[in-house]
Amino acid sequence: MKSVAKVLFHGIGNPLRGDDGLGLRFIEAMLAQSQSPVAVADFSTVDFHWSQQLTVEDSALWIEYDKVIVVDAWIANSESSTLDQLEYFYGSSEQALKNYFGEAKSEFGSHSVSPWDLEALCQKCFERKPEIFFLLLKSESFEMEEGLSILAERSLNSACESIHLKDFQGSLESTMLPK
Amino acid sequence: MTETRKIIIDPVTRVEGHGRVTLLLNEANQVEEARLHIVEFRGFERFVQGRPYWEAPVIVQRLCGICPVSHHLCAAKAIDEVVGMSDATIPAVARGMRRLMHYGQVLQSHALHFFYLAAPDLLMGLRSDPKHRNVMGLAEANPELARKGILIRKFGQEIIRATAGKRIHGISAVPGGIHKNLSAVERDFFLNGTDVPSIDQVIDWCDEILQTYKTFHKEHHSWINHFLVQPMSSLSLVGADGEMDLYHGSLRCLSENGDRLLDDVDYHEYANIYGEEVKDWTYLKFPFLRALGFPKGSMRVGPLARLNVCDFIPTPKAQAELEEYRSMNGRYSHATLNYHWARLIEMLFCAERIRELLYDPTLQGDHLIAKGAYAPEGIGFLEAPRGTLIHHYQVAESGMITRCNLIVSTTHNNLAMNEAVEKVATRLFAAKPLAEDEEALLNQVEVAIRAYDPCLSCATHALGQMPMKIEIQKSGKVVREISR
Repeated sequence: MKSVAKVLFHGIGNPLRGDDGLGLRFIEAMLAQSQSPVAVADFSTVDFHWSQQLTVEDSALWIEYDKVIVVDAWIANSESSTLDQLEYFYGSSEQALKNYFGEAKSEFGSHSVSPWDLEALCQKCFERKPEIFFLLLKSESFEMEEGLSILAERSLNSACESIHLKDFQGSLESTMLPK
Repeated sequence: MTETRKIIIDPVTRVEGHGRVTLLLNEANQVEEARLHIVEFRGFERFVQGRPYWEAPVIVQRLCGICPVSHHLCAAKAIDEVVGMSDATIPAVARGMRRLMHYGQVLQSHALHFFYLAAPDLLMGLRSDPKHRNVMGLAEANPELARKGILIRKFGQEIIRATAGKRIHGISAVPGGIHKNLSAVERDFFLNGTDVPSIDQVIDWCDEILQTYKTFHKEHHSWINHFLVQPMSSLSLVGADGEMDLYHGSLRCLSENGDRLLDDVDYHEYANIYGEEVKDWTYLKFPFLRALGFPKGSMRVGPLARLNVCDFIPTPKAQAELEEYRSMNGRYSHATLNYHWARLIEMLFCAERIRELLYDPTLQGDHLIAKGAYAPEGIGFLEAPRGTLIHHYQVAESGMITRCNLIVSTTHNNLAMNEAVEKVATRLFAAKPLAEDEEALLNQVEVAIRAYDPCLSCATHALGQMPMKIEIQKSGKVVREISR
């Protein structure tokens, strides 16, 4: 029997900065699904976690999982052509992620770490690392305010409706989901 | 007219701001003056005016993302007095929970400083590539040490979560007590080692790391002992028997030779004891003992000062380490890099104290809050990770705060940090022409500041490549820039 991957959804962002709270909102939505009496999926191997930023200590959390899905808000950039066609992006394609993150570079502090550095820390310090995937939800503003923009709400709803848990638990390939 | 040149080491590229260093050189390239500017104005003393007293412990902790617990607890201690209570009279559960929270805070903060900020300098060397002189580089060079550092910090953060409700900016300390106890399940979380290392494991690791550091010290004692020597007074709280106490006690200040300048004074007297010098180039004041005046009455605080001041440490392993430390460094050490060794001894002390509290059944009690008669004023002191912290509030009968005075740990070290920068820069410029060895200048000034307080070093918020920039100005014009 094929084993089911142990999955962590790690939402990041600050809900007091408008659409930056998308990571938390997604985690809340998924948690609600998992606690629903009519839940259609098996959440027994799935955990949810939210923090404002990734930190060095998250390496000790990530090593407990086979797959970690980093859920973050992404502001559309007209120059990143491929991603702009999407309401959300899910996958791990390096080139596609560069469109969003820029070059993967080592830039971290006591308050924040990049996913790549965290992955490297998992490997170096704990000699195991999960597969890292990204669920990037389209947004437009990180100003100081509570609540999501219409664009961000649409992205959140679209992701929640379209993404099924089996997509994350199965044998994952880098996937880009069109809107 | 003598031409002077100004060098600005400016790490202020991040949101939080922090410090900037200016070196003023004369024609002969000698350092005439060094200034550590704190360019950030926080304004919390004004924010809380007009707010109800019970909000103070929640608001003021936002001063810092590294040591919010210290501000939370120091404000709570002060506000206890406004509701007619004190450390001695609040319920035993509250006293124990607050202490547990505080030891968790000091443990995680010291772990952050040593493993993420200082160890890469010390263990990888100042000449190593700055790109690798960070926790990632440490993980590459010594993965076991990095792993233990990460897990010790995580343990401290989890202690804070269990006692304060959140890892950062918790809200459990309330006027006259605490709003939660430590459940048996929460206690066992730290004892059984299933989800986080057990407290026994953490103690063993703190011990191991001290042995590693002592080996390093033996190999590099000449550099550590001579890199920066600053004979100054040392200040901290001490317990009733002169023991190290990071949470509560009396104020003791010793001169560089160990003479008692403050002999276990009630900290409520601080306003009569302290003066504060103001300079127009920094928002950070310079506290000093009025009796000695400024600058003679300036003092150092933090781990090194605490080891100088206390008579003993009331836990067995940390006391044994203190004795060995003193046998190597003398009763009163003024070598600034010994802050690191002192910090590691305090980590061990905190871990031992945490263990004692985890086995104390008092913390499962239900009597959490008590209140007495209103008082118009409250003063709180504690030993934060970086040194003595003071919160002072005046409260109207309406319950609104009318005045607030905060003297944070780093403020106490202000003169010492300025002097540290000047000493290091003077030595460097005496040895080599201006900026010939740019990396040495950047590194050594950073190392000097970092020994005191990562909240003011650029390293605090950038463990990787430092956003350092030096501008060399001649007659007000930039003639050269050094950056990395």
